[in-house]
Amino acid sequence: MTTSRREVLLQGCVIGAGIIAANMTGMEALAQGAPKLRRSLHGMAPNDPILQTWRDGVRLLKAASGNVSWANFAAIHGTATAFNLCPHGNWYFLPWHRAYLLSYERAVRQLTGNNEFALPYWDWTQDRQMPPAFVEPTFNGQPNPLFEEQRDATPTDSLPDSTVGPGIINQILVQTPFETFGTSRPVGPDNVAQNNLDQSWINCEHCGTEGTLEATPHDLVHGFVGGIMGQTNSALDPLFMMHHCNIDRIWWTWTQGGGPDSPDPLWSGMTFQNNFVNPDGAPYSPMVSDLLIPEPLGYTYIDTPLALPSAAASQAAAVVAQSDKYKSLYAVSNVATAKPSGVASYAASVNAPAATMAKYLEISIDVDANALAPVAHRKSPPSGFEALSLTNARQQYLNGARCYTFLREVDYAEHANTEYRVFLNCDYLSPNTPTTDRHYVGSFGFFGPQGGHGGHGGAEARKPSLGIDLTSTIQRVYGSAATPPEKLRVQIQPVALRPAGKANGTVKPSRVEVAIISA
Amino acid sequence: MSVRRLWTIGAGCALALIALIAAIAAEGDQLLATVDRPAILTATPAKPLQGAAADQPAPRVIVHVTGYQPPQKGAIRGIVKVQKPDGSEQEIGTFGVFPNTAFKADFSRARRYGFPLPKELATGAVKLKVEIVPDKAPGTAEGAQLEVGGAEIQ
Repeated sequence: MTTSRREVLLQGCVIGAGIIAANMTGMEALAQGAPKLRRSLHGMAPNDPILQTWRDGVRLLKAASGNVSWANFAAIHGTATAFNLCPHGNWYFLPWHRAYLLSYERAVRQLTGNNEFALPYWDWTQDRQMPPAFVEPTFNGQPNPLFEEQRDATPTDSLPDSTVGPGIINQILVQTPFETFGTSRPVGPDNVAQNNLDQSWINCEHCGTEGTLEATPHDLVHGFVGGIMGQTNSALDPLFMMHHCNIDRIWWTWTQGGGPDSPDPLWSGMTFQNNFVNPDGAPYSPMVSDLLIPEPLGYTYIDTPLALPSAAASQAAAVVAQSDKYKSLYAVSNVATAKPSGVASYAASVNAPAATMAKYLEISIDVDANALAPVAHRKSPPSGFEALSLTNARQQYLNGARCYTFLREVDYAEHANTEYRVFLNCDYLSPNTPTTDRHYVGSFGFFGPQGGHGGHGGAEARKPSLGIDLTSTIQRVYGSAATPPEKLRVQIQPVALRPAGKANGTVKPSRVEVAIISA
Repeated sequence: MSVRRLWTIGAGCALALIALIAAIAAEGDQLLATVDRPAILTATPAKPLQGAAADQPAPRVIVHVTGYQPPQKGAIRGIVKVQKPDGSEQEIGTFGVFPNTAFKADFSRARRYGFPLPKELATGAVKLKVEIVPDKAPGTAEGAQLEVGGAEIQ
């Protein structure tokens, strides 16, 4: 291939003709139209056609028997006692699972008649808790096919940074070569590395060295969800495909950023002979080289061409304007009474006792749900996207409505060893609620005595005010809700910075304001 | 050579041998990680490390896991830390065991996990600590065991 994948996308093309000619699957996919966009579950409404189609498809597959059925597809991956055909700890891990997901995607399109369907992905870097659509036993009064009762994780359990945080993703995206990024080639029991294309190399389980992508987010998310997701028959859990779809997306992101797939014909020339099933029940036997680019396979992860770096220059003014807008809101004494144009503003006095370790402080502010809706439903770039195009990522950050809260005249008599965590509308808040919880907004702390430098010269100490951006949290919590809430409950939970030390921090603002800036 | 001198040399050799065996056993004892006690081992270069030129592949630590017993409830995270020259520790990676089921393997069939090693630490053998912790905050990982067969720097 002479044209880089990035160039193909930049030109707005689907794919080079040479690749299509070498790939029957690609020809079939293109015959059905443009590749379908695989979207993030982040903020996806429960009745979104994609989720509804996946729900229907899983239900139909579970009810089916034969080759195209939930049980048979899962058994391709593994049974309750052992893996079957899937390679783990082996350099076929990524292409094999790409083809495996494709089997589901195509079967669901066929079963539901929705040819626009593409698997959604669980972007666990952004959404640390299991997607809401998968954790409720029922949906619209009927059993929810996406629910799996054996999972260990509860809806409020959160994946930590060390498993799926930005640091891990960034580390993965800069790794080369392929065998370090993905997993290395298998070495047989006689300590000889793979030297032919025998099918047995595909199922040489744990015969290679797992790279960070497989060892960290892949393995740990399986274990985190737990139940059958942590076992060899994990494909019985409908969340399996959304997890693996994100693994597949990270592989795609890596190659878009210039990551080179293995040039070794022992990798690209391997055929997964009769490993998968077409929607008509016939075997599907792709070669690894057929699976390197998603678009000929009928799906994509990007809906807009990547911006050229030169576009970044025109963003500078927009960044400054947004910063100025925030600063002007912070500068007024009360945004609710100042009523700046283009801003919906609200305020509430604080009458409750100060927040302590034992009891958090909650301030409830009535807001207009219609004004909040554009904040909740704004689009955010998927994780790792900035590695492809910082310009696009920045533009998506700049686009759309935003919501800030201002904590005015904050009183903090004591603050030793104390971090103040801000949450929004969390019904189960405690000092143990982690910062990876979807309701977490951010943290603040204080340095020096109350009043600090303001008390110099005998002047009365001025209490500080804080401005906090609520946008991401509102988007994360209410992006999938048809209607955002009419109350924003800003919660402040003091926690100890160092568990061993004494933490006596208290905090209480005199007033809390909310400003919603329209796009 | 007098008999006394031969005895002295013999006793010295025996003591040295005992000390060597004890040292090996001590390191072997620390290859099993539980939630209360990490595995501690030394990763040695698999081949002579070349100069840290920009175009060289980044050095990696490969940890060989030869056995695993899952906790009574939930799953674990394995955390790999490397000891820096000043004695402090630096975390270089985290891994999981999938599937979350017990296994035992010879060293040649060990499950291998690779972690980037900062170039400044890839100057020779490094001391590693492999900890296991519960994968979720309320968990205890009680009963979990991870057996590390060895580690190398590539």
